[in-house]
Amino acid sequence: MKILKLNTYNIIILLPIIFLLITGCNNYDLPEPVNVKAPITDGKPLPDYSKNKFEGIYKVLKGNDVFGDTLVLKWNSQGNLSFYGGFNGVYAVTKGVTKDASIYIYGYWRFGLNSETGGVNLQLNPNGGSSAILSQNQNLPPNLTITGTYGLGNETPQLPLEIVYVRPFSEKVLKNEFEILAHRSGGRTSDLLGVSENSLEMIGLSENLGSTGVEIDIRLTRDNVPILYHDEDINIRLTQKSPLNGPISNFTYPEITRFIRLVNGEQIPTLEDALNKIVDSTSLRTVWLDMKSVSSAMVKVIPIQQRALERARRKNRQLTIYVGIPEVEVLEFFKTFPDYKNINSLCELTVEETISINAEVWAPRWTLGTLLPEVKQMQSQNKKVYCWTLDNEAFIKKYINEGNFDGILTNYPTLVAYYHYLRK
Amino acid sequence: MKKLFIIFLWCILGHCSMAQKAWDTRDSVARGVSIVVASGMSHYFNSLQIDPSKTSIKQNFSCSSMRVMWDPEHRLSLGIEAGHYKVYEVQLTENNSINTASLSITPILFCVQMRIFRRFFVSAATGVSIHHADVNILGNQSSSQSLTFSNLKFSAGYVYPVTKQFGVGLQAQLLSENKTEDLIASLQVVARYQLKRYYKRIRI
Repeated sequence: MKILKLNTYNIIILLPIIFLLITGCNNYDLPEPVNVKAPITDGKPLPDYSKNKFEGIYKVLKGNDVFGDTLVLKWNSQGNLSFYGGFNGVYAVTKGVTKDASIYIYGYWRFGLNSETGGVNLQLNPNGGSSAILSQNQNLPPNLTITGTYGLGNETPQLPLEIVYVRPFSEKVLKNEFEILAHRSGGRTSDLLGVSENSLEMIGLSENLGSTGVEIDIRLTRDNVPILYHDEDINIRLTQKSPLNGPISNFTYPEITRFIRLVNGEQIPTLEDALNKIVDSTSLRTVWLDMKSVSSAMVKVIPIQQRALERARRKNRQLTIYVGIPEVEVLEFFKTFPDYKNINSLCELTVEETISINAEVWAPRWTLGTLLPEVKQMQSQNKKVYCWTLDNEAFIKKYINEGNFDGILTNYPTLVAYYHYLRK
Repeated sequence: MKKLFIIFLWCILGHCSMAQKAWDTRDSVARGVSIVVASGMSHYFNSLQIDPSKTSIKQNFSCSSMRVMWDPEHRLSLGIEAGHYKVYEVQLTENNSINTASLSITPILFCVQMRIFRRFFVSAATGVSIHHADVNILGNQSSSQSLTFSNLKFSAGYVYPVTKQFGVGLQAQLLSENKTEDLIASLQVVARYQLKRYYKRIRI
């Protein structure tokens, strides 16, 4: 019996379908890491007073295709100089070293809103102003210009990049303790940052992205260990394909550590390890513990929070760790704690409920608007207001310029950093 | 990508197959309900991202399935299929102790079967699967069950009628688990029993 009838007509129809099926599939892979070689081998780190002179607002003269028209340059405690721009959420993470009175800046740039990336290589010579920057006594020369090149992908940076210093950060920015809170410990796995969300590695990266604080998701394992994990289930969105399946709360921490790795190969950290990393290896000021698990997880989480705060105090670290209250059920459980009004907490519910538990922070959803009267009311009672989770660039700009929030939780801390540091 | 090719193959088959013809009534218009029981071996196409230097994996296991089919006309059958497949068992050796993690699945699928030759059939099925994960670490046992959706199964087989009611044969299956992106192939011996049978003459 003949069941297949491949005549010319069929082939004409089938060939385009085959073509579409093959070409239509596009693997959504991590961008290849950009490895920019240091232009010199024996450069020395810049002294702190030089770093401070560098920071400020720059105008882009060449390289606008990638970097837009304005850049913010800011050092962080990891010893890196980060660039923040408004075009596609562009940012750069660079190192700065000095040799023979010249300054060399090199690293990678990346669009926050997509995965395009490349290298950056900049240089400042004594004639161009490096002497003034490296001197403790000299002011910055007018029109300080940093020149160099940038590249696309793993190409050697060859395209011209030139930025000129416009002004330092405003007094408002320097005095204001505005919090740039990075979602899921720094950024989402889906944004292809090269490290996984809710990992120790992402916590290490978060300051390079401009964050001053992080939000981390807490769940409880079967043996009652608080861990950092967002979803209820073990799944290939967050983890490498492992032999464990089902809710993560069905497995013990020893089982999880042996068989599960996050998407980029990291271990799922415990809350204790994450807070120790934040205290010991970063200068992050704020941690928001998002209680994803059942409310009873608080019994385990609050002692860890208190230990981490004590560790920070011993190290003279300015750090606040808030226990998040996202639901009424969690609120009711929180109220069963003796002395709950003295536990650092952040309430996502109403103003009244925030006041009732003496939470230090009220955190409304960003879709509620700028909430100026409510924000004013809370600030008059010495409470802070953080809105969440704001990712839209237009609203980030609007909320920073027109709102009066004390902080913004976002998946794109580089964009929030850009608009925040631009404030006059 | 594998799924796309499977769908693509089905598209070709659907596009190029001839419509059914009116047919000699002698052995082809039996209608009714049949039960198909199958048992055989399965193979898991390993896509786990685990360190092969520290772990070993078993990929071949025995499997079984059963389906109840309603045959509304002489080519098409509709039914429900269930089965049990052990997918893999991973062993991790650590300080002379062996830690294991394994996955078994119980698919419950809606099945469409079509006879394309005289005794040769193909079928496609979709539905839910219950995943059973078991872990044994240092003597402590954990298990977890979860329900997954949008799973697919394709099979092709041959059943030889030994009697009017009873037939035996062989079938090959490909089971795709959507959530975990697991792919399992199996080869099974099939026994079919026709519960109820009536005939209707088709006019040519």
